[in-house]
Amino acid sequence: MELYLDHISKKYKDKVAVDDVSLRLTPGVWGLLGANGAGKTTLMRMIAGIMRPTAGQVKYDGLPITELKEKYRDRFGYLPQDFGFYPEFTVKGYLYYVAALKGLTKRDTKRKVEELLEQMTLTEVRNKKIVKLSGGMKRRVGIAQALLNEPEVLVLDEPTSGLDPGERVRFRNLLSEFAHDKIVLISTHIVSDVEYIAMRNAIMKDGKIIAEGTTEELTQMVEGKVWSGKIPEERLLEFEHRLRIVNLKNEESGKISLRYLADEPQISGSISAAPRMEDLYLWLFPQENGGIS
Amino acid sequence: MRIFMLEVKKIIRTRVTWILLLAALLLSGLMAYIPVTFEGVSVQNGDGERTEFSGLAAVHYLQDLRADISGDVTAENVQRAVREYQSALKEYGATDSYELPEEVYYDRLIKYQPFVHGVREVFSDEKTGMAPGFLSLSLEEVGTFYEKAPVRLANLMRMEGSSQSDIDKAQVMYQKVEKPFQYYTGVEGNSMDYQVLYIFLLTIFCAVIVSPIFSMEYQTGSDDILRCTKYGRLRLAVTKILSALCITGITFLLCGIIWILVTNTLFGWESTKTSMQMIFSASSLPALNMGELEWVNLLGSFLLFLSLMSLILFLSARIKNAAIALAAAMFFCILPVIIYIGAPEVLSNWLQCLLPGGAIGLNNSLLYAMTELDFLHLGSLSVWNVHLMFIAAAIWIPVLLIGTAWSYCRRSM
Repeated sequence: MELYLDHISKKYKDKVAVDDVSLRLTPGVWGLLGANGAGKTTLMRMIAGIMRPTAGQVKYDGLPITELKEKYRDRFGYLPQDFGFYPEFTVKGYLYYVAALKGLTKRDTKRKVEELLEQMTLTEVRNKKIVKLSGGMKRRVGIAQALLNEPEVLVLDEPTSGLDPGERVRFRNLLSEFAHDKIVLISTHIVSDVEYIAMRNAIMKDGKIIAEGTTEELTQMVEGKVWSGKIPEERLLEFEHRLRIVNLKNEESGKISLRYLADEPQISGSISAAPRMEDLYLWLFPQENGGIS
Repeated sequence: MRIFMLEVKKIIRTRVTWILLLAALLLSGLMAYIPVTFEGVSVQNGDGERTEFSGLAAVHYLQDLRADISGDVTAENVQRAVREYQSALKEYGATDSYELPEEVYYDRLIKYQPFVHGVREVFSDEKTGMAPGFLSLSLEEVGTFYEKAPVRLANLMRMEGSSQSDIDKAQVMYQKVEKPFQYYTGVEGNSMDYQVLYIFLLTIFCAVIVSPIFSMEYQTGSDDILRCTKYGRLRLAVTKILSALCITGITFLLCGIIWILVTNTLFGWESTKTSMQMIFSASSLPALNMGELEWVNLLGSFLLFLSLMSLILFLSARIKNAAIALAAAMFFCILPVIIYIGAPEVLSNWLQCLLPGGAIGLNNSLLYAMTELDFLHLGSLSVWNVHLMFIAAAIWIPVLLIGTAWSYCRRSM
């Protein structure tokens, strides 16, 4: 099983959203990282077949998805970034509706909906209108619908936004269980989500895939560039201007401990730290720091 | 079938939908009953006192009063009616019935009032079209009512500038009208006006239900998920179209049928045998009685209604905002009414025929078009307006529905 993005591009009048991307996705969880506007959502919409590439093709097991049509969609699950639903739907009503569109039999629908309601801890709100649920619950309904047909290819755009830490952990575990022999692509800028479960990652910037590999392979890109050191509290402002700070922590006796990115140590007494995905992310996207968690 | 049922359930469970469906159902009875309240008659009893009857009592009184002359509207009956009018007018030195005291009208003329309908029209001046006064009509002349009626039809069309071929076509249609006309007291023009109004209201209600079918999915972004599912493209588009048309179509027909049943039950089923020429113009072309006219108006309007719903579905599949789709739907519901009032006659006739739902409205309705003598010309071809309306609607429906499904499937690609 393989999903191959064969030199796909998406151009608008004055912008190239995705620029000649080639990527071979094999079973396992894939993380798609990138700043806002990097082209992740456009890429995912093309994989979902709801947006046609300006150039290139998305191929599933060697065949273009435009030819496979129903056969591809039968094996596909998708959660868009903004999960939309008909406002009058209840949780159960919505899942039954999507299940019918996914071609599940009545019996399978009942079984699968019950199972997912349980897994997503939505059983108690099954008869409530989705519109009345909290953001996290809505997101879980969105994830549930994507899993209804047990897809071979699952594409989730920002699946954990709005989930609390406990929900995120449960989601990661569920996905790890589910991902066996399946292609799962998760786009996020919450780096820790993919760090824990992604087998491989692809990093997008300005419409291109600029790096691809396992977490270990990718973090090697910032090997020797992550430092940790301590500064006096009163000099924080000065260092904030000078350094790319990954995080900071107040210590006792008026000191602040910093984790920062630099080619050479910038604070005397700094020691080299083991790189993590968030270090790489900030190294590649210096303007982005809101998504680190 | 399962997707269809779920789609139907989804639409019906929407609050706006079931409120409108309920309102449509309640209106069917109300719109049938309102014309009853317009009926009224004043009757003098044995000791000289007058009693006012209104509503159903007035209808029943008039039915009893005219029992002996109901049925065939023979030339003799028409002569008898004109004689009564002339006698009353002479007695009171009046030239027209509205100059007579009210009680004279109720006591002597109301019985014959339906039978003089059309007499003055048929014997109007050939050149000016002016209707003669009752006193200038000779009873001998009135006896030729049915011979004179087709002549009047030709004269009228000539005055309106119709071509000889149009007149010939109209004459062929008019020959099929059953003569003598039939008359039974009951269903009158007021009821038919209310059928027209009710059809217009039903159309607006259904337009509100149909307009968000696709646009709401776009607005909420839910179509992103739906179109990624196995049956989320053409099959879903077709299902949405069918479910919307089924819900609104069944509502339209069911409410329309209830209206007919209630109306005819209130006014009496016998009155459905009245020739439409006795209620509308004596020169009306369709060979229909009032009962048949009610059904033709309902079913003909249903075809036009389907063409308008198809247009609204098409707009819904093209517009990504539900509020704008609703506004567009309302615009196309009201547009034919505005055009009919404001546009030059030939243009408004064309648009009434060619626009989807162009003959659903008020003055622009199918019913009134059926009482008119308008023919439209395309080169050497001339077609009675009503026929053209049906032809245009039958073309629009598949074209717009295919366009709807195509627009949905191709969106965002």
